[in-house]
Amino acid sequence: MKKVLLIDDEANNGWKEVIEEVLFSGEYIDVAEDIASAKEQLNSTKYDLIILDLRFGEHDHQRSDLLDFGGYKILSLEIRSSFDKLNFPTPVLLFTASNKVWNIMEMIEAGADDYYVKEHPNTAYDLDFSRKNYLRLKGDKTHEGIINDLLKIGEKRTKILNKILDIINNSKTAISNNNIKQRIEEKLKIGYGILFGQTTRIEKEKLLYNNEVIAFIVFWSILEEIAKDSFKNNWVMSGNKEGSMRKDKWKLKNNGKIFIEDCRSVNQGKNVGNLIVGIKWDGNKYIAKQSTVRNQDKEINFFTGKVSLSHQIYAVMLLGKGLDPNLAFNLFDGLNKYRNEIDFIHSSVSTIFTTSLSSNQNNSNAFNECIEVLNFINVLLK
Amino acid sequence: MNSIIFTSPQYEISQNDFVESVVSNFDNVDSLNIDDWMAQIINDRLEKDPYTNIIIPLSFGQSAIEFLGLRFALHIRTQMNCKNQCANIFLYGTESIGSLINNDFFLILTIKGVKLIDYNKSLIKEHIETADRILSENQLLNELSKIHLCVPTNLYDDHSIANIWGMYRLLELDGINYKQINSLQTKKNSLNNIYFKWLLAKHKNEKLVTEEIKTTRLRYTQQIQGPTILGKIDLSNITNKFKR
Repeated sequence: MKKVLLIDDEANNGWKEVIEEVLFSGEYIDVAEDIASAKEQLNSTKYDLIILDLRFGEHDHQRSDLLDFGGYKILSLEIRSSFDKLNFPTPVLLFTASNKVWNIMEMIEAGADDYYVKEHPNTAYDLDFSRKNYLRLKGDKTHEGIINDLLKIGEKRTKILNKILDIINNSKTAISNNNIKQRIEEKLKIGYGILFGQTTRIEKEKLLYNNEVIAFIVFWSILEEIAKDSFKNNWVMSGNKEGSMRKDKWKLKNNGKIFIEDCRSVNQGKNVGNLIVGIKWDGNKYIAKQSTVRNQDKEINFFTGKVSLSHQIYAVMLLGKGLDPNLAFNLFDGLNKYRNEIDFIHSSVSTIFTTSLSSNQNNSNAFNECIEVLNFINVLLK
Repeated sequence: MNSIIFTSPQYEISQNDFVESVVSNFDNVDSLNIDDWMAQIINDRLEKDPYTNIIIPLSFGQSAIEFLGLRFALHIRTQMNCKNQCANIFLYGTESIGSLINNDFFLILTIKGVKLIDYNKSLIKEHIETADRILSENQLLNELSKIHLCVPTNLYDDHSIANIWGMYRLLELDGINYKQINSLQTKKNSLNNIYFKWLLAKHKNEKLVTEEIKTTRLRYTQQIQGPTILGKIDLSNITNKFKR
């Protein structure tokens, strides 16, 4: 059963039982009736849904500024106060007797996901209001309803956030450059924000905005960050002073600092062991290539020819992270194909002449691809 | 006997004065929980037998100026499923109507079948001979709409009202009897509170629950229960899970 927390000063005056009966088939839910107990529970238990009242007790009822209300404080100073809070991804349903739209909007700005208005006798004459208020909560022919929607979005957020926190944690040791470490964390936050930002129908339907696809691109770009870090610190260097492979044998873009434009066969001399040194075209796709071991210096065979940007990133990462090339390539290749299909950066030949950009995006399973790219990042960092 | 006459120590009325009617004393008036007390009186004395006429003293309890008879009359009119909800109500007392005008329940006197009469045994006898109820059940809702009650003073404001009314409304939409909810039986949230009792009586016959609502209830119950989880398999250590 779902873990639900009701934060409401009226919880034990009826709402707890009413919500249990109406929304959760009589199953037990947790309650907190004041800020202190709410904090305690939020810090000790990960919830699937938080139902939050706006005003707490007489104190709040004597005030008119939202910032003074207990519900606002709990939301902004506790639940959504930082990315690593236990219940940061947990959906929050504002459960309020307030009909002041500006307060509701402000609470959504502060991180509430949706709202339910406790009915006032003044609306009792409008039966349609009562019905719609109820159907909005529990669903109708076309919508699943707030509760089901929020429970689902909570699962998604938790899944993504757990992976993100793993990445942040792993990058502490796996990434040596502090700037890159910070940039990775920032991109993770941006991606999460885009992924779970609320988008309007106009944005989706008229402006073709697809937050999952854009989030994927942001997460993808973290691979480039990892590549940069790998390139600088872990690149397999030759014995010659200036002659790192990247300078002498790999032609670099960006004044020789970052990307490889092509790679070719080289022989660096001594062996140091089996290393992943490059990628090669096997007729259908690029595959990772291991070095030939000879002696302490490296003898490295590179494929000669043009290498796409994504494979350059891939090659750098492989060299830096020493991954099993088959496993890594499978992961990377799938993600890269997807990146091409969604057309955001550039189109693959197979899509550009056949389908529209929006249909590619609409047909995509972007959320799962986001999961996959985060999985891959974690593989790299472990 | 088709009349019941309530009395209190302030008035000298006894069973001997009205041998053909039921004479019932208001005693041990619980002023602090007056709505609960009144609801209990109705349950105990007005639920069993239907009466044509109910005679009520205008004042009883410790405070004569509260005119609790007006409140009690509204309790009768709003007591749902009570056999005497539409009985004729005669309030007897010594005060003129002008002295009642500022009372919260003054408007009960505008409802059909409720009348203020002088405290006079002969006059009461005249009224208990009224043979028929003046108010019909069909007219009741319309008559109740003449009443306007202010928000109870023991609640903070409109938000507290919504906190109680919102629960009743949500339960009604979901087809759950509020009596199943234990915490709604507390004094604070009790349906005996005359304000909520009046609201519920006023909206009693509304066709709030539609077929769409019923369909939603069913669908939601199936969705929220979901599949039963018997156990979980941890795939986190299986390398192939990363393979696409």
